[in-house]
Amino acid sequence: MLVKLNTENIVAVLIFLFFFVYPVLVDAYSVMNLAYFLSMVFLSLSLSLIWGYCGIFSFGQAVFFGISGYFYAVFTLNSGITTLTPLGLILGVLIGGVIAWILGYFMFYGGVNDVFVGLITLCLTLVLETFMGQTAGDQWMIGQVNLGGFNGINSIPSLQIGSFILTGNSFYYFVLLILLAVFIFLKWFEFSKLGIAVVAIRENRERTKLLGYNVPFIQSLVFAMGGALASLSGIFYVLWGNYITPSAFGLASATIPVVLVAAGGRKNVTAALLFTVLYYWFSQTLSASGSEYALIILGLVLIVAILFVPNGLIASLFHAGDQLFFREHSKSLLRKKGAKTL
Amino acid sequence: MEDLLYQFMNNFAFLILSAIGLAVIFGMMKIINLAHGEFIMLGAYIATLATKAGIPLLLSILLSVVGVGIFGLIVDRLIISRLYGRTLDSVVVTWGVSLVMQQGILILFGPSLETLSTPLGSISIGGSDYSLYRILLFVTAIVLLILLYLLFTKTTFGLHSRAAMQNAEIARSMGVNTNRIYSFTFSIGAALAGLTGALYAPTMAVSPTFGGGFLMPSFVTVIVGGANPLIGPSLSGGVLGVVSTGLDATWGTFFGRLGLLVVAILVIRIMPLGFSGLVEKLSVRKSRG
Amino acid sequence: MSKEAVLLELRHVGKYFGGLRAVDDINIKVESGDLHCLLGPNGAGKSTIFKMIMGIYKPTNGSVFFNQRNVTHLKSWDRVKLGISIKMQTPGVFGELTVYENMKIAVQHFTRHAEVKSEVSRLLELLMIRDLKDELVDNLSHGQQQWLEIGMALACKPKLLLLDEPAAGMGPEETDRTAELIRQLNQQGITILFIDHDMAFVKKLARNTTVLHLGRKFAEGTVEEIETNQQVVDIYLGKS
Repeated sequence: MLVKLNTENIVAVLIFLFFFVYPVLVDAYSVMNLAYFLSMVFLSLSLSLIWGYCGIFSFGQAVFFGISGYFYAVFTLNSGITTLTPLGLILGVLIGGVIAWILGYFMFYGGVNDVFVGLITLCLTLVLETFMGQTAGDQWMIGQVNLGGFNGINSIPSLQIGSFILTGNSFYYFVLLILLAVFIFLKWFEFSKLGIAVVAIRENRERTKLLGYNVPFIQSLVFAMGGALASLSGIFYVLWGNYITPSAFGLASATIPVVLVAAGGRKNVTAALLFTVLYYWFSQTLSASGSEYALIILGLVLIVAILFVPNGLIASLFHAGDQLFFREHSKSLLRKKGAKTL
Repeated sequence: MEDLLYQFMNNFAFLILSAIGLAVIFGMMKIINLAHGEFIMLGAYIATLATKAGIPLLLSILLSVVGVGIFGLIVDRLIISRLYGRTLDSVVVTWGVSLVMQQGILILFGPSLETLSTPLGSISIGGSDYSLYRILLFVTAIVLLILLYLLFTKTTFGLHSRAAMQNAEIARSMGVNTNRIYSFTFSIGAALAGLTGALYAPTMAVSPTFGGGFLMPSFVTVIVGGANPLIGPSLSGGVLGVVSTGLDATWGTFFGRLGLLVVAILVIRIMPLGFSGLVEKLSVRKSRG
Repeated sequence: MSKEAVLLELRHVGKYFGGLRAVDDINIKVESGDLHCLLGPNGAGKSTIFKMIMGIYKPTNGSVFFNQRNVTHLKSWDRVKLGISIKMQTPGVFGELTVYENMKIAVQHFTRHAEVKSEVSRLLELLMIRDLKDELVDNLSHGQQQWLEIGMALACKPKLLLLDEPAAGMGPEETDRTAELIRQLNQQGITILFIDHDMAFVKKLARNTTVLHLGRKFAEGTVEEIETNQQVVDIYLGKS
């Protein structure tokens, strides 16, 4: 693939270089912090894929995030065999994808679209939070694991490949490598045959049907891919902290990806990545400094971003950079972000 | 039987009152107000604080309605008015608003307020006690629906806003100031949310997250009801009220809530336009034969 | 006329919106290779018929047959795969993409990967918009957008091409070129059914005509027969 020289791609390369050398520069605590931020990036990317690329607006990414996190916990704690943890990861991602497929099937084949997808997925998230919150009793045992109500599940085993346990730096690099792979995949996907069909669906669903594309099928497929990515995020989150609680399904985790992707630039995966990391870094720094104004500042930033930079803060910066440094004036949606021409 | 009826009235009132402000804003403006819960919370705060300051409850409730209505108008003029027609952006922005409101209230008033006691006491029928206040909430919900019906069918504002809802462009070309209509609509939606908050303030703990409990029922009611801000919530409030009352009584609250969601998903799958769409279809068929 | 020669057939097709009968009990046969026009004033139900042929609307009653096969319950995209393509009345192009990208979206689904590029070039050449291939579609004239959309419809390799007012909003010169293009496509073996209400354009082009009025079939026949049909002339002059 011919990678085009533009602001976004240069920034992407620099970010990943920075991520790779980061553990050399800072202490172990900061590395684990960034590992957490990167885990959450998958959640944003899942939304970039389905909303930014395909135009499916969903609050449901937290559903797959939470379900897979819980699945991994229940699976690994029940098996008790730590070498089976990679299987838990793989199965968890698959299950997230399958559940997303089923949900997508019901919605897209039923002609449910646009804002209604958002509303349904929002309700689903809230119901799951309520459900997990009341699972404290003894009747909520799956095998030997109690779902634990509001306290959730603790002491979930870390990932172990062979006899090697992924913690600290090794966990960080594991997450980073998978992130890089997913990132490259998404950049490639955008200009693949399916990716182009997906952009067509975003731009005009009805018209795309009349060009012979099975639109509900493609939507379900992309929604399933998004579900799998969100699941990956959920499991990494569990691996990072070794616990999970119903707040994984909460309103905040349902809406934060939407907000991050919208404010960063939803049609641009680099923007989503960068803005997500900045957001988590910023909110952690603010809350560590004890400022109770952190959420207020965040809320105001969002409002201002949507009102005045509707294409997203980071994406607009990329665009400005392109015009300044590369005299790039093409306004085509596909070209603007372009890794290459079609 | 009285028990079930009482529970139904309770659930129905809760669904209608949760949803009505959201439904008016969504139905008329296609704006999804994620700060709806926080508007309700603001109403609860105004009512509680006013009552503590010695103002009679009824007047405090009125104060909430006016206060949140004005607050809604300000939010609309500053923010929402720039987003008319941009449904998805409205989601993000109103989430930002909700963040600011929730955290702002937390900073100003701390994690919780002392709750008011539920007024009016209870009556005893057939050996069970029923809260008069909750029965009054049911009556209020019904009266509110009737008042809104009158507002939207019998007034010039109602005529213009329905025109704007069906086709904003044509309405504009006929001299309707759609922006003013939308501002007023948003303000009414906010005021209704304020009313809901004020009405429920004496029945539960008032904290910055007060609105959270209203969010899911309100969204489900609006989804199931569809676009029409009156027919929608009335019908879906009725149906969902029956569903959740039945499930609550048999299997407990959680299944009541799950039932709401299942109904919502089924309704969207079978009739994407909700009850409003169904009613419209039937009435067209009837009137044109 | 042999039975196999009928490519498209509508049998007692009707579409009611509530109580409004937009299309009522329509029977139309389009033979393979025909250049057929649906003629009629505004509100006659022409576009609604197209949408039912395409599967965008489901008929309230009646059936649609394509190539002897009942396609009434098929989805739009399956009909496209069988060989029905449409250019709609309102432009259905992707305005924020370039001409080339628009064509690529349409072409890639029906052409092997290695041949996509040459197929796009061939179609752009045919449509006389090759020079515009890197232009953003929103910057094209109305006429150029119509041609692009015809090109996208052709990319689906149709047996039957539906054109809803192919020359709407075009100047005389563009109209002539459009007529020439349609004739050329028809000669290549594509059956064409088009909608128009400009009698001069229809006369220049169509072989057979079906006239619609208020959702019902009003008359049918060759262009010459229709032209001399007094009732048809009347509805066009508004006497009906």
